[in-house]
Amino acid sequence: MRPSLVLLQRSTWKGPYFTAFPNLADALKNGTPIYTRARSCTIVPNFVGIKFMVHNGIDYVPVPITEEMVGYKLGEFSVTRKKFTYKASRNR
Amino acid sequence: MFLLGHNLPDTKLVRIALTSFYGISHHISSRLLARLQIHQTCLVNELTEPQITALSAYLSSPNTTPAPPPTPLNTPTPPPFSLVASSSSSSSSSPKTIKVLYEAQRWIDKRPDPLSDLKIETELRKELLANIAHLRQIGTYRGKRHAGGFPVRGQRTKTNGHTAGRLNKIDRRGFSTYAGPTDSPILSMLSRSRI
Repeated sequence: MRPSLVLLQRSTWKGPYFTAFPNLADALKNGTPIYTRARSCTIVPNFVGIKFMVHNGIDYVPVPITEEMVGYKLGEFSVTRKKFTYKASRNR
Repeated sequence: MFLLGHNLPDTKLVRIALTSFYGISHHISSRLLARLQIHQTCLVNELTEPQITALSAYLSSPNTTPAPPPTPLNTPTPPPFSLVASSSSSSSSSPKTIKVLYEAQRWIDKRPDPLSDLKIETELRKELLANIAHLRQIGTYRGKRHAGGFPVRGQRTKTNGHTAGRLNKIDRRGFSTYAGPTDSPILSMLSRSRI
């Protein structure tokens, strides 16, 4: 679906970039969330079903992994920007 | 000439006029002409009736139209390595060069045909919208930027980004400028009968 990912990004011999989580099996069994700051970690198929808490610079955003998210990065699901809202100034 | 709802100007090159279809680039256009054996400098009003039929048959269903069998002259033949090795001293090109050239030719021949799974017009626009909808549905940052009307690939938003504001919507219109002669049902009927 995303040919540019394959063609332009990374050498195939390296494989996808991902971080090893030591508590992966535990999280899958007990459903405990994994707190991580590894936003650049690729979501690999054995992450499916795990709840990650991905750092966005201030706090940790819950990201439950589904099958469709495989191949994307963890950071893509944890927004780092605040949405702009217009605040009316009070003292005028 | 009207072809599948598109007005192709008579005095233009077919190669150029075909790019008015959404999803046909200059490259695809010239590949298509090569497949249908229409020469590259052919004007639209010089097209013969069988050529028009072949063009409209391909463009109405690019995936189901079978590719023509490869021309026998173009099939690669492995170089006779024994011959090459024996005559290497006399000829200027070494057997290694010939082998490299042969491999390069093999690689060119094995490239996927861009015409075999081409998507044009509505099909391509549907695919575009489906890709964006998928990004939104799984909740990626890119999907949110599409929905919010912001630039998607990290451009600045303090200034500029007006194209993104114009195009990126929650329900992005897949059809760009859809005014003109193609709208009228009479003309589309005419184009079907190719008058």
